[in-house]
Amino acid sequence: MRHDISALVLRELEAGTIERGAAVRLLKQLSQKTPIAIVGMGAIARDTDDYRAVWRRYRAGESFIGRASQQRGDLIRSALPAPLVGAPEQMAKGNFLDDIDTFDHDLFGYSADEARNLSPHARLALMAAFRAVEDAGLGAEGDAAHTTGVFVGNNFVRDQIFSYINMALRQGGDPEELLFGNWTSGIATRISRAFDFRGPSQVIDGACASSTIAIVNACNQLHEGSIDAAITGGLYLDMTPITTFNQPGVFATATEDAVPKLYGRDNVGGFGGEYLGFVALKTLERATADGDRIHGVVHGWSESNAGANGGFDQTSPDSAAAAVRDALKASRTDVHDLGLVFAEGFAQPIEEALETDGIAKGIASLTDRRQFAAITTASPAMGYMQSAIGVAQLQLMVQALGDEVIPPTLYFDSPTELVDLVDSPFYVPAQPQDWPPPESGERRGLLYSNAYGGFYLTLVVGPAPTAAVPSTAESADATLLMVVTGSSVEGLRTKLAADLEIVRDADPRRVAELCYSSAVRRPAQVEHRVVVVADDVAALVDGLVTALETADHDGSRSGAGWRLWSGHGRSTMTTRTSPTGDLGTHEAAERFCRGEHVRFGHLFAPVQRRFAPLSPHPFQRTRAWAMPELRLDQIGEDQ
Amino acid sequence: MDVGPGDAEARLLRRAPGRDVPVGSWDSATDRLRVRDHLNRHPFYNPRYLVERTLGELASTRRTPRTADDHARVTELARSLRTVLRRTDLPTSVVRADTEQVSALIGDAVSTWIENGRSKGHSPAEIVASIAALEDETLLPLRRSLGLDTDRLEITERNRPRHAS
Repeated sequence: MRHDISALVLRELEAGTIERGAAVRLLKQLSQKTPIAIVGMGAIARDTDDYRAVWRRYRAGESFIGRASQQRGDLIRSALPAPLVGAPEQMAKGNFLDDIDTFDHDLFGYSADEARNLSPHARLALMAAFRAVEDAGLGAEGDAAHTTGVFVGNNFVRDQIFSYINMALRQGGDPEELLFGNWTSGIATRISRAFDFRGPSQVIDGACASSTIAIVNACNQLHEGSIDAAITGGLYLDMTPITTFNQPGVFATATEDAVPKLYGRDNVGGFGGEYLGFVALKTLERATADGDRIHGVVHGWSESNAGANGGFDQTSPDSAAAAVRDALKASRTDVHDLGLVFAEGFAQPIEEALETDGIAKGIASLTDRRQFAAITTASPAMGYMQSAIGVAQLQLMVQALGDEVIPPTLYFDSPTELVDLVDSPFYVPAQPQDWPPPESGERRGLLYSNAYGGFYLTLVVGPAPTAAVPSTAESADATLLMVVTGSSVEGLRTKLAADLEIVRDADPRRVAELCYSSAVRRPAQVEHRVVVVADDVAALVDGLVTALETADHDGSRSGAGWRLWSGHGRSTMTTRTSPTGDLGTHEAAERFCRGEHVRFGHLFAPVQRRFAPLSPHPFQRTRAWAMPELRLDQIGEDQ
Repeated sequence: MDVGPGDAEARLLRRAPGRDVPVGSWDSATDRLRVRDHLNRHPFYNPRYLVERTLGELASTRRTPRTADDHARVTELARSLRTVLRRTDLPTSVVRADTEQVSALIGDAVSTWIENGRSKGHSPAEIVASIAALEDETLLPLRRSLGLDTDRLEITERNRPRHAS
């Protein structure tokens, strides 16, 4: 609620200058949230930096849990006492990334030395944020006239014993470089620096709810109009994925032999899960005006804290229920439209029961119906992603809404005895299944997070509005100018080949949007560059084929109905130069390929200015690790 | 039973038309914890697991808006199953178990499974398919041993359990 405006309404009511009915209507409106569009998503997860691949595996019921790779042990072995990281079975079970020691430092404007001293959290967060920015088309001119804020959820507790800086210092690393490179509070500002974002940059530590708090903060600032766009999410990395620090049976970590059975009668705990995820947000109104591709819409959110009632709890059912009720009201959601609830997924049976009871109470206070909404959590399949769980589950929820699929809760076979699920609003989906449409209204999902101490957050999410398809007449006279960039010749080739496939497979009416997106909403200032200008789609394909065949040649070439320029500049993402003024098509293409910073936006008709995603920029990842890598078979020689 | 690695053979066999023989699998190509789950839960030839799993079916299936009687029926079915699960003498294996007791438990579980499906508006084909999947999960030949008439979803008189409680 805008408290300043609501206070004003109340003062005017007291003064008698506004009627009671009008005041009530205004106050009701003020308590409702501005719909927030999710216009981009990015993730780095086990084996992939594609959030769609994560969803495909998750909805199919695949497990991400396994023992951390020997590679992860090799990365930290030199900094830890030998008995802690020895045999493969000392690597912890969970959902751990393999590749945390590489980075595309050139792209983000860091030297190789700087990259080594930068924490893996910051490096991977930059790459995950890049994917979200790219997916939203906020690069280049896509962020023009926006005040974009960055809100990152991160929890430092896990790293207090053996952090990257601690381990690197033991290996004789430079204290000053490591100190500043590892200050996690700076991650948000590093992201703002990379993309030239001009809004607030905040890192938020709210324990398990960190990324959800970051998302809610971004939604609040968008709702209040203090920013135009936001990149928000969070991360969770475990620098020591070894059994010593993932002690079986301690906290919520399962025994080595356990299988996580959330909502089950044999819930014996869960495993940890690493994840980095970001979403790009704008108000729905702004996103529609900007021609963005919308993945889903956050219709409302709420926060409640147990401390207000004198409590300091991990889970208070009453406070959780209040958060659920408030979010449903703020989003004007008919409770019967709820089809899926993603809960926190902390695998401690009592904790889980209190949480489920709280969410159920919140929903049951609005309806007598039973078992109409699925309740699930990503934890059994993806591990407990701690400070990143909110953003990870938001990304899964949005894709579940898009595909109209309820994903499965792995390993569920029989319900817990601590909550009567059959007599609750919930059923636990054991198998992937269709998400049936509600009797009225549209599908809605609810995301719930809670933080250590008793802070509860809820988001209500709906599907994307149906996108308009341009008419044939609109697309007939469109400018067909396509820009392709890469960090290296090889990267350029990869991107050219992938974009060529996208153009070939596209609805011809959409090709103009692809061209606009490639030129105006691409990652800014990448080194190797190609521009193809064509009379029609067939000529554009011919030009792109020639560009692919001659990717390592600078200069200009032409054919029937197309012309292309290729070249390179020396700029990186963080290079700041003022763009050249509005140029004609050919001059803009030529000067861009000579390395100049030029604008393309004015070359596209308003009807073309709709974002359509192209292939992801291929990262050129090289090793960035401040400690010597030590293989198990080298222990005898080196330690 | 496909003992793995993976479950490729079981997947192939499960596609056989008109199949009425359970096809189990120890492993899963996409899930490294599945074998461990089997070792922990002992789902095969386990009457107690069958009853627990039936309660799981009640908890894992969506209710569609139907009559108040249907809703009351589901709640009543769950209460009955919980009562059964509180018994300490439930066999966890068919080996050396009392045949009549096992038969009664299986009959009750399958009847409850069918009743849950009916009360939630599932089609007969969906119910039969879910029972076939349950057979694969438990390796108990439920349809055949009960003489289940899958067209009418009724357990025949000849095989009706004698101790349905």
